[in-house]
Amino acid sequence: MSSLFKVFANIDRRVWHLLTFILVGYTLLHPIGLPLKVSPEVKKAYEVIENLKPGDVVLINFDIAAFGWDEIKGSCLSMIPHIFSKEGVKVIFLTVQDQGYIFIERTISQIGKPMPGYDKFPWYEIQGKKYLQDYINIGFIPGFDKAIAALAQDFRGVVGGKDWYGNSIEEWLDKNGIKSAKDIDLIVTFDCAGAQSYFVSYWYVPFKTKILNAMIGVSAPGSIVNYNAGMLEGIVISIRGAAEYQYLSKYYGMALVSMDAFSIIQFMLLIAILIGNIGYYGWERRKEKR
Amino acid sequence: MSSLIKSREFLLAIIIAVSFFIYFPYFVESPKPIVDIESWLVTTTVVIASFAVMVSLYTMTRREVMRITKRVKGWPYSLLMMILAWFMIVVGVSLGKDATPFRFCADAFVLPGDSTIYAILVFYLTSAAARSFKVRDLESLLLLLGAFFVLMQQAPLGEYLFPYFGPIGSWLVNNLAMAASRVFTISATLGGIVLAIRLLAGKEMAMIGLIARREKD
Repeated sequence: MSSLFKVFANIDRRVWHLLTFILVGYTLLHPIGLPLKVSPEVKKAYEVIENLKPGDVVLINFDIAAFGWDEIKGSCLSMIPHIFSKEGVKVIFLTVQDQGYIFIERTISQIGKPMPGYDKFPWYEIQGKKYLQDYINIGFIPGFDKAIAALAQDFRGVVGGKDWYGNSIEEWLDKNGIKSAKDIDLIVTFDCAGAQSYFVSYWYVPFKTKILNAMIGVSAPGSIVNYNAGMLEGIVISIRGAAEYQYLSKYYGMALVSMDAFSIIQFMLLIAILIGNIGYYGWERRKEKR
Repeated sequence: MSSLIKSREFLLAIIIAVSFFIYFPYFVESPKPIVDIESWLVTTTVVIASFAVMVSLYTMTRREVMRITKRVKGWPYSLLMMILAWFMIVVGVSLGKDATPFRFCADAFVLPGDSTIYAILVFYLTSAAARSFKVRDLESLLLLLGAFFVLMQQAPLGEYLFPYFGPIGSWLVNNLAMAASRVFTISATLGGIVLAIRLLAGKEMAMIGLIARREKD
């Protein structure tokens, strides 16, 4: 028996790495389709987008860097098409991360298609909504929290007269009545670095602007606090939240598929903890006492 | 003129004035001229942030060149970093952010590399769970129980097999974890307000290096 405890206490970490690789790989290739319960915070996020009215202006912020893209893309690829499916809604894309514009374009290219007669950005249409008619992309604004604060203070001044590609957007902003931050009806921020807290400070507090937040797992604690305090209308947490949103909105994707791998890895974590503790009490601790 | 700019009183006056125009309108309903100055100051920070990127590029280049010339341990990595960083800058500035070589470097190296480093975490997480998460005392037992219930709540399989654990996990997240998190948030906010008062009173010298200078005096 003690030799088994010794084995448990001394399992090489490469064994765990290999097991993780095999289990994640297998469940991604052969999803089981475990049942999924939709959480109230994701349902609220869904309802806020579902209730958008014609003429509403949505500001979509990509606080996304490459490290978090795979975790958050499920939210992007389900929430953004849902926003674009609402009739008469106008959308402004923005990023406060230097890599963010790449992910805005990746998202648009996955959920949209080039407009007739065009073959490159920004001339894409999403769910029938055309660039410079229904949506614009103002691209990267440096400064992160300073950028979010500055946009709230002087939206038109910070955005300037041109989009990320150098096209004039003055007319589009005027036509849609966007003079200041007060004219934004909803902010949807996809976070890898917790941009939601600055939107709460500089947009929700002075203007009571509605904010939805999708974020990677490590940013979740801060978002949950603000959601429970009523400052965020809805939150979509990590791949789990994205899978729930994909299920609700019927924009199915990899987040739903990866839920099985997610479950398997979480159970493997528990088993790893259990085996580690059996090894510790059966062998290591006894050895320490001796 | 330069002695005036470098003087302690001048720097202090700038800090007090900026602090007043930023903090006062945030907490108190203020006249339009004050709000306009606040807006101008906040907007200016975006420009300063852009310049800060250039300053960081200069300091990074200076530091890495010194490491390379002195052949400090690991200097080939510094050389590689400098080559890649300056290649991206030269290509990006000369050909534009949408040029094929720039996009190729971003898509082929920067993004997969960044994603890979983050994805590797899952492997370390599982091996660390087995090797480090051991019940040595009451505190670690409580930590383990908390992790157990939250994991059960998060994983669809956990919810499916053990539906009674979900509400316990939710209660831990929405009550205990939130209470602890709010302590940090409120402490940081109170700290911010105290900092604002100290700045307005001209007592916060550390940020302009006045404490160090005073020690030398």
